[in-house]
Amino acid sequence: MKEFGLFINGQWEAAKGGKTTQSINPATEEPWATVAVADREDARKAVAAAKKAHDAGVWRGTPKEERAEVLRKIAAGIGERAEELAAAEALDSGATIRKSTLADVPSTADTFLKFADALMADEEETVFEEAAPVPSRNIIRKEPIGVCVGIVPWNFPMLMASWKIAPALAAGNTVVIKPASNTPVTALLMGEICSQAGVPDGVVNVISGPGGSIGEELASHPDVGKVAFTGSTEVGRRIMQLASGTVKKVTLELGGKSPNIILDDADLDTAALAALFGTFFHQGQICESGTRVLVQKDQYDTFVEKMIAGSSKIQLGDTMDMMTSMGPLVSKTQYDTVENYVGVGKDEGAECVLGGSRPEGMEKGYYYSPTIFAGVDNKMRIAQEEIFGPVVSVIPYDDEADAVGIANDSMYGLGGAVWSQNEERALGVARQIETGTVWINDYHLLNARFPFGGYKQSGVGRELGAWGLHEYQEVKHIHVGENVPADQKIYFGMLFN
Amino acid sequence: MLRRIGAERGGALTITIDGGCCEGTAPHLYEDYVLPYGSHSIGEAEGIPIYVPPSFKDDYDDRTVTIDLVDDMGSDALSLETEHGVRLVLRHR
Repeated sequence: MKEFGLFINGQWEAAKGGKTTQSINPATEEPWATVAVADREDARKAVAAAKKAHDAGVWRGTPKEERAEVLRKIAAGIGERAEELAAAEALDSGATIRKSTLADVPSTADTFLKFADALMADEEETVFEEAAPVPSRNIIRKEPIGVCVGIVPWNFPMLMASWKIAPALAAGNTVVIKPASNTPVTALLMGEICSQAGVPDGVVNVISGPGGSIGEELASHPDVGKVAFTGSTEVGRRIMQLASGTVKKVTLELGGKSPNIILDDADLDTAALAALFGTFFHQGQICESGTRVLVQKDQYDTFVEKMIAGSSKIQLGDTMDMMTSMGPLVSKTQYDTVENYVGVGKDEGAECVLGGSRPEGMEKGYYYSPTIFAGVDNKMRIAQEEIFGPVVSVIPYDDEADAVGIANDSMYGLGGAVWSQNEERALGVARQIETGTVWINDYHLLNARFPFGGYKQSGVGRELGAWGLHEYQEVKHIHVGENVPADQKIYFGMLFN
Repeated sequence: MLRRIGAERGGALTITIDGGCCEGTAPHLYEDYVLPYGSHSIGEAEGIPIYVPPSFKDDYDDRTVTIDLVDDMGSDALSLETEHGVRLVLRHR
């Protein structure tokens, strides 16, 4: 059984209280690793290590070219350990080895490369000359914030950790990462990879432990300058409240109920497969999943038939087999949540036309069948509340204006898509959708160069690209006035006669 | 457990029942919680008021809710009981 400690100050160590837990493989319900469980004291220790490293200037004092070089080395380190990381991600999270090999690992490495680029493109200081009311030179300077905390979820454990570590490091901060208790391993390994790539001790710390104690500690600790959280809106709300006590900078990536709008001139065959991909990839456990598919009412029945037919190409099975395209849900809690919502959908009068239960013959593992609800009204709970499983609601609309209205009738605003063979028409609709990301004729493709985040209760702030980098920086304005006597400081006349 | 936490914590306790991606629909026990606008009271437990957000209101108006406690070492909810290795859960739809 593999064993993992906490990664603090460049070293692996046991939790202070000596507690450990077993990480369960969701495909087999068997433990596959033993992981240390941090408590509040470990959290304080990690923050102290990060603060000490920041105050000593070991990282922020490194020129940006060298920081960028270390980020590229981290990417290379991830590449060198790709197989190990892909396997660990599949065992820990229930991701298929196909997903972890083709998506998680390469995207994680790419995140570090893109932030190396963003860092090099960012001007540390820019200068402006001003003439009035007195001559001055004005320097606008970017600085790191200090100790940054990243609390990350279990759906893309390694990738989500990289979305916090990479920009934090790029901007010169030190960081404490708390991975999800379900899926701590790859984030812990990333701490080691960062260290091996030349990140000084204390600059990246990773501690695994329950949210109620160490999450609360990290979100309220006075030495933490920023909290970045990805997870549910409910917990995000509380993180924001806890952080407010010491007026921390907060960025939140929360839930979604993203609309996938199929315009009437879309290629319906492709769009039907996209509707499945947008909602069943990684068992629907993706924040921007297109869980509401909006179809013009005259095409509705045909479209639902196409979705049902396309779903036969989805292969559930052993996550370590490359032929498996869909794995289990991450935990029993998630399984129960999905099962509960399927019951809610049936109670509300929606028609379950596919799935709606555990797949036949798969008694071990938290597997749930791809599930399609037809005849869904946007006011139903299954259309308004985030399920985070392989359950899609197909909603009919009258015309474009109706589709836009339905799409925006949500407390969320994270992702969405428009399918059409008329690009200008699709763009016209995309501009009206109140979400941080809109795909046209694609789904789920993200690029660490471009901003990602939510409108409304899907979040605060943006991750990735220059926008993501700036969220990890302070901005300082230095006004350099002239060294001249008082009689030339004409504005003094406001006070002195 | 609720009484124990009440004794441990000095602030006002609130239970909110809410859902979302990662922790399921469950009770969350907080100290000095700022309730979302329009939250709706549905009862109390050990003197602690229980609220639901506006979107859940209709769902709880005319049914009985059972809140149970289970062992759970690995919850990431910020609910106060999790520090004791347990978790509040709902026992109904």
